[in-house]
Amino acid sequence: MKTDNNTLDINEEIREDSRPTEIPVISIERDNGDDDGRPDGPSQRKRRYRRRIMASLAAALVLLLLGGLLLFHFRYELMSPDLPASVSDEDNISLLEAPYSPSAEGTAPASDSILGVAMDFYPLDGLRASLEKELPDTADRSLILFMRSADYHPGGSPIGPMVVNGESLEAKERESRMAYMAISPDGRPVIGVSHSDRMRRYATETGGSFFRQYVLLSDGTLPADFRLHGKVERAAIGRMADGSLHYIVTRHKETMYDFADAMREYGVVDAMYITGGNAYTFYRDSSGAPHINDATREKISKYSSTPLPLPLLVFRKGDSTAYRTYQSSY
Amino acid sequence: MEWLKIATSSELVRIAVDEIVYIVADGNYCDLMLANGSTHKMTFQLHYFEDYFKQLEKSNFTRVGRSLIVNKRHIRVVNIPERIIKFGGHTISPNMPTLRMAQVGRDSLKELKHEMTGYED
Repeated sequence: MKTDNNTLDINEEIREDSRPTEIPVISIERDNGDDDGRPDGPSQRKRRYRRRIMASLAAALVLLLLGGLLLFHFRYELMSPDLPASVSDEDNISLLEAPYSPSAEGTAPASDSILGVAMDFYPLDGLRASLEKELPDTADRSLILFMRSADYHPGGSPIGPMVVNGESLEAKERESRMAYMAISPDGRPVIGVSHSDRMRRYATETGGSFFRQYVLLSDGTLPADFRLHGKVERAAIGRMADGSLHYIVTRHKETMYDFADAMREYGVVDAMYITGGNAYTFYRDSSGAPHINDATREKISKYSSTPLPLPLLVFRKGDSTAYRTYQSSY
Repeated sequence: MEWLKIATSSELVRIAVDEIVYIVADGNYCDLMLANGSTHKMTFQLHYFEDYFKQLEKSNFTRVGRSLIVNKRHIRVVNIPERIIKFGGHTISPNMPTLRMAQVGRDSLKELKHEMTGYED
């Protein structure tokens, strides 16, 4: 009985009650899914065992998928983990720190055909290299050669890290290709093969330039696989055994493998791919005469609808005043 | 968390065990008092609960006299001279009634106090 001050009296006497009583069915339910407190029967044990097996299988599948994705993303790096390197990052840094006094007046291709691959070799020694964010003026007599550098997203950002005169350009993709070109502030180019970020940092700190591309040859060894397939005109920057750099272009459409194999056969030690196709190829010979093909002329025309793949890799005369003017504008 | 699923001929009641504050006999029936202050009339006798409370993983329920089962977790005061049990805690409704035992229930209260504290006078 409840009283006024919120107190309930508990009566201990047995009260006569005519109301019918029932026998309830009571069970205990637990949040872990068991319906009562009784020990598990064989069917529950089997169900629990099956659940564990299914959970393990699901976890294994997720791990497998993640592993597969990682493997797919880094397959080219993983497939070429043991490529020997002919020069180390330290060797290249020593070279970049040495004084550079280029004096070449122009370049002229030497042509050769090996293993059925016809190639033009443009010597780059004695030229001053740079990455330039604007299309060079082909009437400028200091301009000796220009070509594409890194690959680009449709939005214009480079694929992989890129540094132009100490300024890092924002790369949307984390993909890091194995071969690199680094350029000292006074225009000396070096190429190398390395996963390390050291050369990029060095270029940023010293005001140099840097970009990455696919490796075609490293110490005379081809990578296990190539990412690009099909046949197009191919271009690369290669280092010969004597240390000289050449811009090497195929005359016909070739596969990456055939191109790399032909270069190796020719005596190229290291080679870094430069985007395929025959556009964006210009050179000036020692007499000062410019050579430009139709595809390049069309691409750099002001009527071209294709955006320019800037920055371009540009080689100028060693004592170029135009180059110094260009550098000071940054 | 554990739940009691109680089925009679006319209804099914599902209650979280921790929500039960006490169950008091009412003749052939019993009243279930929940932490929010609401009561539920059950159409069977009190002793049916006891068997199931023993099966709980950690049972805080104890019989106090013939007419009462209390959840020790919610007890705030056990006063033997006044024969009262008060309930409290942040989950307990402020309108929760105080239980006053009949004169014969004094020994049951002593047992409850002893069970909860180990103190015997």
